[in-house]
Amino acid sequence: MIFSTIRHFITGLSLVVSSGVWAHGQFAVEQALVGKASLIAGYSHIDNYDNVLWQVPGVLMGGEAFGAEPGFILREASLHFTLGSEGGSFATAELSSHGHSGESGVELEQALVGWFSNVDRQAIKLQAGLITPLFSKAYGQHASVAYFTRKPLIYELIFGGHGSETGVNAQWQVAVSEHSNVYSGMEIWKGEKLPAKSGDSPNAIDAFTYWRWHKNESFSTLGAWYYAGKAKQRGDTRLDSGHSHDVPEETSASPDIRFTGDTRVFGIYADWNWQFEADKFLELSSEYTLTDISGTLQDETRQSSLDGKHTGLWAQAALGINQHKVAIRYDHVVLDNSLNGTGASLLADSAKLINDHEPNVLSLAYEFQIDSHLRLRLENRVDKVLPDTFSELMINLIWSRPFTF
Amino acid sequence: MIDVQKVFMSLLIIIMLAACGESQTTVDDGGVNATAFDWQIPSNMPLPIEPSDNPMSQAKFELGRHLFFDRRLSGNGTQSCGSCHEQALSFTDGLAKSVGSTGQVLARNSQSLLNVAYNATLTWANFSLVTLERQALVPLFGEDPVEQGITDANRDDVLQRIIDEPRYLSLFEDAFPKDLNPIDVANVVDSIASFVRGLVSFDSSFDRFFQGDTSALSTSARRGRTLFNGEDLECFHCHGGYNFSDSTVDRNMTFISRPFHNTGLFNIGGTGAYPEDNSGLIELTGKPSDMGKFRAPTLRNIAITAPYMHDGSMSSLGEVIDFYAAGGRNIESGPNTGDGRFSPFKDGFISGFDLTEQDKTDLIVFLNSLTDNTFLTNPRFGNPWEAL
Amino acid sequence: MQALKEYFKTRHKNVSRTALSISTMLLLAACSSSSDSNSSSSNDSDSRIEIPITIPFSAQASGLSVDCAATFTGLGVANASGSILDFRFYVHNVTLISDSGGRYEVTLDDNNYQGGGVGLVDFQDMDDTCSGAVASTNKQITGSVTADEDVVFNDLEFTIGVPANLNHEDPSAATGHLNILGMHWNWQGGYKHIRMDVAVVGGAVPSWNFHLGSTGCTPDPTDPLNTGAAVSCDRTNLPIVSLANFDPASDTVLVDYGELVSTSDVSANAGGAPGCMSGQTDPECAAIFSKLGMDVTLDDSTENYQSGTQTVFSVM
Repeated sequence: MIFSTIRHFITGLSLVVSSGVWAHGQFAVEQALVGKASLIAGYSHIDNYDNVLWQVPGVLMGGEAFGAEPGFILREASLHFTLGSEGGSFATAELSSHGHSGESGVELEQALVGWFSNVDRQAIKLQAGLITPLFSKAYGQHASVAYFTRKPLIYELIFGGHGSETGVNAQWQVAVSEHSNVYSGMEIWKGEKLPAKSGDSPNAIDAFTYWRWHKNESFSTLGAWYYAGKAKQRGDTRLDSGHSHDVPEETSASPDIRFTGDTRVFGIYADWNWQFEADKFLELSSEYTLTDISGTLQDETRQSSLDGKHTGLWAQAALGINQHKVAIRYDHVVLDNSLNGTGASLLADSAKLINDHEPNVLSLAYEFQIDSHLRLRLENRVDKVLPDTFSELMINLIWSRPFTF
Repeated sequence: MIDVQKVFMSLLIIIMLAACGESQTTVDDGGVNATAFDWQIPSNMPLPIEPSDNPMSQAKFELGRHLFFDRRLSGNGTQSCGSCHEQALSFTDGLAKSVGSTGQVLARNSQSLLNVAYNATLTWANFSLVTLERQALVPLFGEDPVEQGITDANRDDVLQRIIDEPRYLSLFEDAFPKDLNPIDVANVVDSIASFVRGLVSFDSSFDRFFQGDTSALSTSARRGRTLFNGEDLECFHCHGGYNFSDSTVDRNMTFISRPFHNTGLFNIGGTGAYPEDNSGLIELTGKPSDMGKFRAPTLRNIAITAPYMHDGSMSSLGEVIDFYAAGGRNIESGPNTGDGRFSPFKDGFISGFDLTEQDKTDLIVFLNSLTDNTFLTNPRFGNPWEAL
Repeated sequence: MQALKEYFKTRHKNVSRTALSISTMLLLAACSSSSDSNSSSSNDSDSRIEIPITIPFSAQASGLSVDCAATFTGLGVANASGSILDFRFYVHNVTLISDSGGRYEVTLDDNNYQGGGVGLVDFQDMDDTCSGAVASTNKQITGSVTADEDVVFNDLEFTIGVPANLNHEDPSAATGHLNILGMHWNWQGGYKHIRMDVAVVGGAVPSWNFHLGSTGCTPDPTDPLNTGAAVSCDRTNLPIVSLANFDPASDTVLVDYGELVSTSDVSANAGGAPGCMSGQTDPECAAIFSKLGMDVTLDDSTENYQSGTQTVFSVM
């Protein structure tokens, strides 16, 4: 009984964490210091894996997209605090550590101040500081909360897998009816993170809107978002010093390659969560993204224009019965590029943009709730992102727990 | 609400279908790679620039090859281009300073002609000569120093020798089909330039490694390569890129630079001066800061093209490496006394470095891997007059 | 007999009258036909005609005419004796200035020594550095101007050398006077605007050479034809010669080689190449350049690099 209540609470909590206390259009922040700690440690086995820099042909990569990490690894350790006060102001800080290629430093993931106000059926929230993006649930979600350890492919390729950045945002939530609300927002970023690169700040903005309603036991979400970022002389920051493995020049894009131009991404998201019985649910979600890239590609001596159109789709289904959860996700990306100019053919080659295959991933996960805070997750990832297919098997231990002071 | 769910499901399906499609990358280089010549180089290597008034053709290349190795193309009939540019030595002559047809010793060392089509400027220190056509006029007709020694007085005689050689008529007619009388000086120059432009090859061990054969470079060579590309030695700054020279251009480039560098070989009297007859770019510009500036030549086939430097004053790669490790050359006696390490005009990247014996060996092994042996023997580039 | 004389007298009068009228008509016809090309219809009131112009040149040193056989004395500060090995120079932009200040550009004829608006003045009467066979010379520049038939020319102006737009074309494909190997300056991609070489008797160097060429010539970064002809020079070194009181009908342009080298020592090499090869750092160039009104240390971007007065060319 207690277990099932706790389980129910945790499932509900995950909904709450991701969508706010939205049923009545209200924002809410505790006035005591609350937080959440989470940790994922695991082991990954990959068949015939060449530990080189993850370079997907057809797209300019960067950020923190490092691909699969075999062996024992501390995938994530995160500590999240929020402290509110009456009057609506609050501060949030988040420390996290992500294991990449042997390095596992602690970094400040979020450090922001905010203010919110609830009036009648509407609420407004403003935030400023170092913030994790809100425009996409799948992008902002921690691996400890999601069904899978890796984010959908489009976020790793276009956004570098990792997004917190300095900026400001405004969020607005309005309860449309007793059972539904609309949650919208706009974010303005300094524009340092992929796909933007600082030139004249601010360099990146996004806007989003989500319509959420529930009827009996099913909770549905339908949303759309738009991101636009400017880059100026953007190179692949993964090639900068600080990573332990020697970057082999022949397989990665040339470090001299720089992109200057605009990246615009449009996404549509749909989610349906059906609690068909106590401790049993089915969740289906999907997102479609359309990315448009236009600008100039340069290295020290050559130049050409670059136009990219990339479409991405992921669809996910999850079933939870008591302590067990299974999930499946299919990720598919189509990468189209067009280069024009005297340097086009050589730049396309050295930037690793020549591509005629559609990267896709099939992920399967099984999760077992050991106790109220600890889960065991087995994941299998059939990775067809690179021209060679490989299969990854992960076993992860996920611990997460909210706390108050 | 079943209806909403149905709507949802259909939306999801529609979305999934919308993402179907095939990846493709289209590249449009505006026809910049159009060429009538079969360069015979790997397809991912850029092509050299062709001047619009002398586009490459196999016929011009073949005619140029005959003229290049023909001793009759000199005033006194004793010397051909090939006399100072022998194929087996990667088109150098193994001498510190070359000798002209009348016996005059030149001030400078004969340069290798491998991939010289990619040179941003030609000869050791001249920013005016950017095409092989213009450069060819210097050894053919120059008066100081006299190389081929063709003058106003003997030009007609030299041309007559070409006209009288039975092999040439059809070669000229094939190369210049639109000319009524194709055997003239302008066509001689254009065809020699075409031959030299076609002396391209990317078939060293390093090239094979670069094209994907990871066994082509030994561990020692790879270590040498890391040293070469590292920030301690800084070799790659002046000798980097696919042609191992920063004075490189090809037809796909937008940003072209034609650099020259002073490496601290001389510092006569502490003024930074180089010997008066061989002081580099300053001879053209008169600017004091151009004293001792020379073009960084390619390191391809460097193991074959000793002696080194613009005046051939270094005879081995070991000596060259020691010189760079010291950050300049200290000449302790004689008319050129001076410590090049303290030259006021020395390039900022020549600051010296520490090298262990093993490092030095690895570096030399890497430099040796830049040898393209097929180029040295390929009959395509060889002397057609051997029997004579 | 008397009747015959009378007859011839009358005939003679008639003939001479006829001859006079015929010659006048011919003259008028010649004048009007040659002004056809100048579309005199657009030139309203004034009667502009095409006037043929010949500008003769003469060269001397120490009172002797310049040719291969002459031995000059008193050359330079060392009072050296010597003879020429080469003596040629190009001219362009030949302009006559009338007494009312009107400028009339001379359109140069096309012949063996002239073409494309550039002419070669050549005093070297034996080829192969004055040791070979007899060679032709060219001591005049011919052309025509379009002007009023009663124009009075007062001054002459011309520019030495091959103009910048022709200086970097392919010399091996050039024709006639622009295809002389000895006047090419291939190492800087251009021509020798002036070539005056002298061999000094008992000199420390075999020859003392003055080669004037454009220096600091760098290829333009955008050369879409990739021919190497798109070049711009820091120092075009094309001195302008202005001569007052010059009447082309009666005067000659005198080139005084003795004056050119009067402050130089042609018997030795003070540095760089023996003589002056237009190098800014060659100590022997300063004196030579200033004789031509140029400052060797300044480049074209400097306003007064050609502000000096040249003393080599004068009116004779």
